[in-house]
Amino acid sequence: MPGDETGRRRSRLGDARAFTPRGRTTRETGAIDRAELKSAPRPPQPVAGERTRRRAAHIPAPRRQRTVVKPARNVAPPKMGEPKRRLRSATALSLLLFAFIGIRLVQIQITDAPAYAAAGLRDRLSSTSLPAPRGSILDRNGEVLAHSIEARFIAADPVMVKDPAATAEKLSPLLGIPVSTLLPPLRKKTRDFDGGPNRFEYLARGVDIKDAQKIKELNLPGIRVERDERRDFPGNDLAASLIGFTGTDLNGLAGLESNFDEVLRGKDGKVIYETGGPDEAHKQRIPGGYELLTPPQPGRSMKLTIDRDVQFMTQRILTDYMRKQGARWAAAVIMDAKTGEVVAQASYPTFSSRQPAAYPKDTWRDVATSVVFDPGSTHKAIVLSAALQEGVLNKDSTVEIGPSIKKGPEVYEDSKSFPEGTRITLPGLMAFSSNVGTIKVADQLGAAKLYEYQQKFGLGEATGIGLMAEADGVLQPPGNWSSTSYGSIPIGHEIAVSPLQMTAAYAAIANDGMWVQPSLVKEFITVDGKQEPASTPKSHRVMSPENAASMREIMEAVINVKGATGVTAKLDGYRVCGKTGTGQQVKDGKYIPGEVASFIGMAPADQPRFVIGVFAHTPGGHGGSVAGPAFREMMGFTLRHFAVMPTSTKAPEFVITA
Amino acid sequence: MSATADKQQGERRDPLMWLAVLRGLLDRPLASYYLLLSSAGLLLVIGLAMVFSATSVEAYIDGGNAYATTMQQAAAALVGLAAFWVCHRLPRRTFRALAPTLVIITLILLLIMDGLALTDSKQIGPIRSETLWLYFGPVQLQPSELAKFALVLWGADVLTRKGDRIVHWRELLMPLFPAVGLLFILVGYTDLGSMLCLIILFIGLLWAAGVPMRFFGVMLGVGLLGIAALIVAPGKGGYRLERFGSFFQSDAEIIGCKGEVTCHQAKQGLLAIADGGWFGVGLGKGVAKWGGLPSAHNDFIFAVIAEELGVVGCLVVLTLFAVLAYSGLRIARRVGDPFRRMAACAVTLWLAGQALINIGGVVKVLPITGLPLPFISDGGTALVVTLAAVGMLASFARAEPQAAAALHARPPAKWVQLVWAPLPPLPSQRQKAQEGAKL
Repeated sequence: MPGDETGRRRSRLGDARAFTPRGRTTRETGAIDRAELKSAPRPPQPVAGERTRRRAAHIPAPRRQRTVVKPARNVAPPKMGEPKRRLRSATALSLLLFAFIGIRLVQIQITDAPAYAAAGLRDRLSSTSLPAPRGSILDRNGEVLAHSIEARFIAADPVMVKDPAATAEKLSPLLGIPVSTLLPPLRKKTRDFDGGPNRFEYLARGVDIKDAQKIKELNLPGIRVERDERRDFPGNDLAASLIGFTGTDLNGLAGLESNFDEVLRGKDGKVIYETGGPDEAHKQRIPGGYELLTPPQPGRSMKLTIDRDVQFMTQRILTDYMRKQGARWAAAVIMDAKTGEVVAQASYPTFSSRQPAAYPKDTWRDVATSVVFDPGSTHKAIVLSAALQEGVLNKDSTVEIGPSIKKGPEVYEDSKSFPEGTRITLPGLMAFSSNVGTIKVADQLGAAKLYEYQQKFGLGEATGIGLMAEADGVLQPPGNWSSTSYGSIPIGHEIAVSPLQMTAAYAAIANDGMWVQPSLVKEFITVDGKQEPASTPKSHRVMSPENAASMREIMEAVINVKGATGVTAKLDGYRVCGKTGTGQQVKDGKYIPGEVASFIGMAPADQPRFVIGVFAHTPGGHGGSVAGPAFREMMGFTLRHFAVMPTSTKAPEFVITA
Repeated sequence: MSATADKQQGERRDPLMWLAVLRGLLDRPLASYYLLLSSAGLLLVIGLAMVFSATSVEAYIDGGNAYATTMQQAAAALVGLAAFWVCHRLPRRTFRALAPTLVIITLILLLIMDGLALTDSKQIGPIRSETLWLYFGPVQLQPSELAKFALVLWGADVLTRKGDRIVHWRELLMPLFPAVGLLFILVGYTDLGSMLCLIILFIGLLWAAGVPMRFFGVMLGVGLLGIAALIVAPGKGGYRLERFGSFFQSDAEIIGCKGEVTCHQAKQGLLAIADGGWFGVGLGKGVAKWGGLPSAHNDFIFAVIAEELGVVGCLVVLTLFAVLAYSGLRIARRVGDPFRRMAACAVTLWLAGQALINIGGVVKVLPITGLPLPFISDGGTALVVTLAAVGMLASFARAEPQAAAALHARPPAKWVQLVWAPLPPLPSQRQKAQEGAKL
């Protein structure tokens, strides 16, 4: 049917051709004729039975060729392939091969393609850590004490470094590191753990972005400039003993940085992504490729109770005085009387958080919490408070004293001796720091009660202010008391306390008899500004507000009575009360030379706002002379800084002896 | 007519109706011409799109301009279209007249390329040789591509002149075989793939010429021996042998390859195909071209197609090649005169064979040979020569007796003939008589 159709159409068109002159140009037909004439006339192709005839002719052909070549042409050997059939078979073959490839493509997909694709993806994945920014440490007003700033690190891939010497010379002026230091990390090395070539070596960390950009522009082979974070301490040594410092990876190594590392650090994120080919040029992130992002959780910031300005002045005053006194160590603690918040806490000697390594290791400690010593006379306030609260005495009682008292083998004397049988008032007892009187009061109170009150005032146990390595101090339970203990312990020996513990104990007197745990951390601030208050400080009542007020009045005598121990602490315009102390420090079971002078006081005495304790281990000197003046200056600055109104009332007149 | 018949029989549909429709369409006089033009045109467009996709990353890394390579390829495509246009218009006798000159030029270029490759500097004046390329100042040329077209024309011309005499060994061998052998050696010296392509093309010529079967038997043996010798030959051959080695590994073994040079490319190709799945990851979204897949822009561009367009896209490309092969061989079958028949068959088998070898290497049904994919791979000379060859095929398609008759019966407007192509020659009376006799 189709054959008929084509045949019919051809003949029809053939008719049309007869009328088309172009169809029969002499040029065309001539060319064809030339070609045809050159070849021998072609025999008519057999239509049927052709195959068999060709096979039959197969064998004799070469023989004929060999013997007679020329006539063979005329014989016209029937060995020629039939073009149409051959072309049809070629078509079939090529279509078959294309189909075969198509089948193979399908076969790959239906076998293991997903697994292969996953394997390929694994080969292309790279991951980058997304560092979580470390939280800041702020003072009570939000001023920065420590924070992280974006920086760059410079590292070398020694394998890629072309000329270590030239590279080091170019980097040296920009990094401020001598060539001799830069050169060794630039040289090729083998890794210790697997013997492979070392591909990474830090040259400098925390480099300023500006400087790093200059290094990047040098385009040195094998030198990498990448994101880094640097811890900056704007205050240099400001509150360094509290804040501590961090290591090169911004891990907290000391102070609050170390203790609250978990809070500040946050959690690093990670991004897994697809990168191009094996070489560096292609090793780039493929846009729209696989990506798995674990966002970093930025660290929380800490708001401290410290006031930056007060801290600064406290450190300055402490350092000035203690350098003059030749102190081995000194500490000052300024506490808010009502809340127990530490407004300033200074240590001497101290260091800079920026370069801790430039200072001796023992300067890194926070003296106020880590050093313990025999408090000496400052302890007498605890004895008297206990006696008042237990009703052993009232504020108008008198105590019979003499020049000395014997407890066990030990004789305890007063520095200012009164004749035997003098009855001294409580202000007098405190003003002249009578050992004999205190021991007698303690006798009436009893060892058990004294021990109880020592504990109530927070001695013998770390306050939990939030610094690492805070000392507990040592208290003696009554069972441990020897015969001399009855003389030593009331006047502040045979026990060990830290400056912070003693200051907190006085803060209980200032706070109308309520002991409040000292605190350093006010709140935590998340990156989105949410404030989470730090744990609420523990508190408990030690004595009644009336007795506390009495104690404060009694202690005013220390500053106001002529010739008393604490007159150096007198502050114009404010009523101040406090107590001097001269204790000692035990090291390796022995008292070491020198004395621990202290003054702990509060102001305004009628309604205390701040309690300040100043402690110093000096070669010689008493609490009044060493610590008193420093206390006065610190208290003066603090009161003015917080705009505390001067006291309108005057201190009462004190009667010393009855 | 059949439609009305259908209606009369009450909406009864013949399930094989489409077959009849297809047959009807294929019986139209210009069917091969349109099939050829559409398949080649689509392949060219797909090729340009894929070259852009496959080279943009590389070009951007190299020079900051993602379009750099694509623009070159597009320029080559323009030159190629011009070549197509010219070849599409040329009469048969011009092709035949040009054939010897073209072969001689090709041989000279090949000699210069291989000769320069032997020198140390690989350069004389403005002429520079680099593996498969010859540079004349800013113009670069791949003589082996030119060799394919030259061999088609010259081989077809010589065999046409010989006519039936080729049944004799001596007639067949001289002067064809020494010249072709020289061509093979000069091309195969640097490029085994192109030589393979030339062999296929040459076999196509002989096949269409009607050379007796036993010659093919002998040539097959000689050819296999030659290829084996080239594979195990020292120097660059060693690498080739390793690539052949990966052909005998299973898919799983290749996927487990740890970056050895023997299996790296095969592995990356398989990974790209696996990554693409049935429908591909989307045009331009592939990752193989990010440096992972060697020769992603030329030899392994089919892997990029597989990744971005999936099995579906691959089947489209395969179908287009199959249509091209079908229409090319259909032209060879239908044209009356032996020169056109041989040349058409040779060109078609060259293009189809090159596509099969390239794709077969990528999908691992054949060893990897390093041949570009016609129309699609990045490479200017190859594209120009391919389009020129297609232009020649198209002119043959118009010269099919039925097509010529149809065109003469209803000739297009004069200006169309001027701009597009002149009317084809009508078959001579004798040919017509032959056709008639056969039917």
